[in-house]
Amino acid sequence: MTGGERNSDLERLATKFGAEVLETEVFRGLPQASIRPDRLREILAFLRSEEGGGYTMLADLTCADYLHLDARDARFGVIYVLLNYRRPARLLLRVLLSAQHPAVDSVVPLFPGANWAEREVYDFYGITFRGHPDLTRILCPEDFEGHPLRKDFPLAGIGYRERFEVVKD
Amino acid sequence: MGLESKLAGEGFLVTRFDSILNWARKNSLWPMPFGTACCAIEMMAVMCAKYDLARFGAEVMRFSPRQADLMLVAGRVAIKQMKVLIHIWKQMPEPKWCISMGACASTGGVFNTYTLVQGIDQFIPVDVYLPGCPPRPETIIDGLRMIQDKIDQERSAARIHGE
Repeated sequence: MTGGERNSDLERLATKFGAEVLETEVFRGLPQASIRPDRLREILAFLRSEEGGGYTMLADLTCADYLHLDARDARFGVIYVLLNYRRPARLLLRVLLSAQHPAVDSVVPLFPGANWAEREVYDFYGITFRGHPDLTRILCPEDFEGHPLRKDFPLAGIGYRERFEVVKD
Repeated sequence: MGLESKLAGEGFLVTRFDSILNWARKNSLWPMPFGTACCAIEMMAVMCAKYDLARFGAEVMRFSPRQADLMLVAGRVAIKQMKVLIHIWKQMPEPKWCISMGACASTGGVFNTYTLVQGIDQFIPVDVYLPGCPPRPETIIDGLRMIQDKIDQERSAARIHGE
């Protein structure tokens, strides 16, 4: 636990999963935890349960590219924003993934709403979600190459724009 | 020709077919609004009371391309969307004209990105480009007047026979 504030849910999580939890912190009132990818589903199921804090809603699922930023050689962070409506309380979970073959278990069996969000993260960051029912691009064209929100993707693209067929009547 | 005696007292005038056709066309343009961004807001403004495009006969917005003869591309067009724009353009019956409104539609504007078409004239023929980000309503009126001038120069035989 860094910083002065403590959070009982983070403490319970760190106690239960030990080395899986890399870092916990309360940043400006928002409790957050960075974890290893291996037991993600277990951890999310625990946080969803009453015992783990009752975070029954997955408010957002997104990703960040920490290219050259993270000392642990973890390039991507898949971010799960969890919400407990009744207390109410928010908790942010960050799964750190390495640059080579970034892959993590899909959480669609736990939170069906993660379906399109995971497709979007796959589309823009190229992160594979194991066990996703339909892991295809959601916003970019189907035949698009590359993952445009990666920090090493050039802004003007890698040729898709130029290859697009020009038709004139 | 004897018309004078036949229509004596009723009055008539003689003109060229093209003149009267072009006069009718240029004063009853039906725009197809393809508004995708902030340019569309200016386009709406120009339709409203203050600028009132109805003064130039182009107030009937048609959301069906089959009833329109002026394509108004107002805003940035994504590459994925370009297929839709081409489809709509092809659905519009001849004769038809196209206004590329604003920096984005004409050149891509500030969005030199992987998603954006860098000028719709790569894909469909454009008659008038309107500068601005977004263009003022006066610019739109000016552009419409340019289209009207262009229509005035039309020779319908050229349209039909491709001369």
